[in-house]
Amino acid sequence: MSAPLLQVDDLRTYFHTADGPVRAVDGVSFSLERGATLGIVGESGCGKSVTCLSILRLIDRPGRVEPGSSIRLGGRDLMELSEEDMRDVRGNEISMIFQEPMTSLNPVWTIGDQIAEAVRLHRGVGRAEARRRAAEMLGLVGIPEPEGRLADYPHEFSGGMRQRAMIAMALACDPDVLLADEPTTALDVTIQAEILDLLAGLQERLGMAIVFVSHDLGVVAQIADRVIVMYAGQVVEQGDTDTIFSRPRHPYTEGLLRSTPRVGGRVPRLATIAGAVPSAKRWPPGCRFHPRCPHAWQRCREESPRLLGTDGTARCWLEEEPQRRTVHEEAGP
Amino acid sequence: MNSAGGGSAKRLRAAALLPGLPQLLRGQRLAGLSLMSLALAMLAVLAFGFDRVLATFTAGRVDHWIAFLTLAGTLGLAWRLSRVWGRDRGGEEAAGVSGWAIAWREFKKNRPAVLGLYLMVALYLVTLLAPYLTSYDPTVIVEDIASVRHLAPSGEHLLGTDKYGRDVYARILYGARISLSIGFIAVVISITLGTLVGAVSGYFGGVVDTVLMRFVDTLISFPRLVLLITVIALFDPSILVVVIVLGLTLWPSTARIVRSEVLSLREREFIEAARALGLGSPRIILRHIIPNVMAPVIVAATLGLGNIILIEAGLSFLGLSVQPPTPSWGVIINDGREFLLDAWWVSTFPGLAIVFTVVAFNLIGDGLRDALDPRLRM
Repeated sequence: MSAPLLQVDDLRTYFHTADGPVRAVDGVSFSLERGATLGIVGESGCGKSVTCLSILRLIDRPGRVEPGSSIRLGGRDLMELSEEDMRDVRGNEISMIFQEPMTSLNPVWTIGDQIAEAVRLHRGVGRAEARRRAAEMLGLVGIPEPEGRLADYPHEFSGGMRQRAMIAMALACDPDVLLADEPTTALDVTIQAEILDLLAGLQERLGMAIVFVSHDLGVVAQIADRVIVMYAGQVVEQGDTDTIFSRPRHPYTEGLLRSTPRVGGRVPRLATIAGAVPSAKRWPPGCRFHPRCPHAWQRCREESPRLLGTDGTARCWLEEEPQRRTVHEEAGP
Repeated sequence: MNSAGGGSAKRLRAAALLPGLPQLLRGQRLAGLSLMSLALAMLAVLAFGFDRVLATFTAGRVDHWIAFLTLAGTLGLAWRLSRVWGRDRGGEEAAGVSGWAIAWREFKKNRPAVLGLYLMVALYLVTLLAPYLTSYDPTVIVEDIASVRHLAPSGEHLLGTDKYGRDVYARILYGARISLSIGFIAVVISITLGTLVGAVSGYFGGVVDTVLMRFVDTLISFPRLVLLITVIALFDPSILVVVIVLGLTLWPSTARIVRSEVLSLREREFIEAARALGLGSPRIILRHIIPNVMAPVIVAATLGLGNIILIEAGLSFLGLSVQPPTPSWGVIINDGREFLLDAWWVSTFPGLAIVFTVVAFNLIGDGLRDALDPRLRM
């Protein structure tokens, strides 16, 4: 197999605040093949978005991607690039779409202006050519009469249409990688499904790889080939989508799955994971999930597990001592 | 739509000969009255000052030509707008509504603001048309002063004469040019500077922000009049010095307003999105930040214009701005100061001119503030 398109190794992004470093992303590694889709799931505050922004090197001070982290796109290490070269990567080779379609378009420019801006910047083409491309992209993302809608302002678009316009903008320069940071979270369910279909369809036609970030397991299950589950700034489980959803190994993944409502399944009361995500300033010692884990024992409180298991799938001591798995259900620590 | 039969279309076309009439016939009162009064005012200038208009071609003076172009241009514009607005606007209204169109709709509802706008348009027209509105020269002093000084307002001298026998009406007209241009240029300087400093400060934050804002604090904490007087005292008072000094001392408040806007703006996702598309900082500031802070900036500019005209009048009154015999409103008020009891008209009318101007700009500013309220957007 050829080298992966995007290879993230030991990504650590810390925010250096007055009262100590906040380790928002703490040693995340993954790789992404050309044309594949990687899902990243986890609760709010587990470092999903920071991971995406780190890949684009859009972390502002006091945040910093720590030395030793490596992000390779094709053959290049993005961490080594100058800011100027990095700007050529953004929007051109790696694009990003955001959660809030209501605020991610500039209210004072027309949709056409905003799509054309990226094209003109990266492709150095003229106004007319950029406009033609903008119309083509709008058509591609399924907006009817794209030529006529170019002159519309964002407030004349509905939420779903704005997200389509965002996608058009992000894909206008044919990027190799699309970082989608909760792109469907703010949309209602029917629109969500449309956007997911659209992304899948576009991927088929354009062949870009997608990193799809969401806290919604159902959405990730629909679109991703592989999934990584993040907790407290670390990857706690990774694997094929099917495997993770049918046979979760990490107690956190189990908890997430059990707290997802299912159509048809008549659960009297939805399970929750006890406790809350700990503060990134002071991750718990040992396994970071142990205060919330129903199976935790002494070792979990003291030793921090690596990704264990047959192919490095779960960050959990249960992989080494499966007999410790208590007959759980609901119980807290 | 309205019954656009052949007959009424013809009637509308005939009505368009007088600007505003087609709008009035359609019941668009605001547009109709505005256009008609504009056109009638221009025609009145032409009628009452016909020999002065004719003099344009023999006098060979630049401001006569400017007045001529203004007269012709305004008439032409009123007529043209009347034609354009007279057409069926069904299609136009269905097309895209920009933020500015929404703002205009809101602004129109605000009667005092519209009144302010009328006053402002009238004011600028007056400054441009000054040579057509009076035959008197505002600066020339006749030899036989005794017989013409301090004449009360009459048909000959609409607003009387001052201590040198100069026509006060003419001096106010020409003084408006000085006062308004000083105000306008100083506002452009201070707004440009303030917007750039505020945007840079707010966008970059950190050390840049601290340094720039402490500098702004320092400037703001000086008593403004003392600062102005000190700086102007270093140079010979002249229009240029006053304009530059006013422009360079009044930007800090704009910078503060812009900075606070940018602070919330830069957290909006479209700024992040712009960065994710690979746009550089200068481009983001110029294309994405500044257009989004234009609303408060425009309000600040309008209110600042009234303010600067006041300050300039104060400075001229103190003899620190425009030098006699050039008229500026403050200078005229100062001229009449000693004779307030005997010749009240010399100081009163320029004083009223200042009041009307400042009120006009404040009304517009308030109207704009309401109309550009971001809550009305989206």
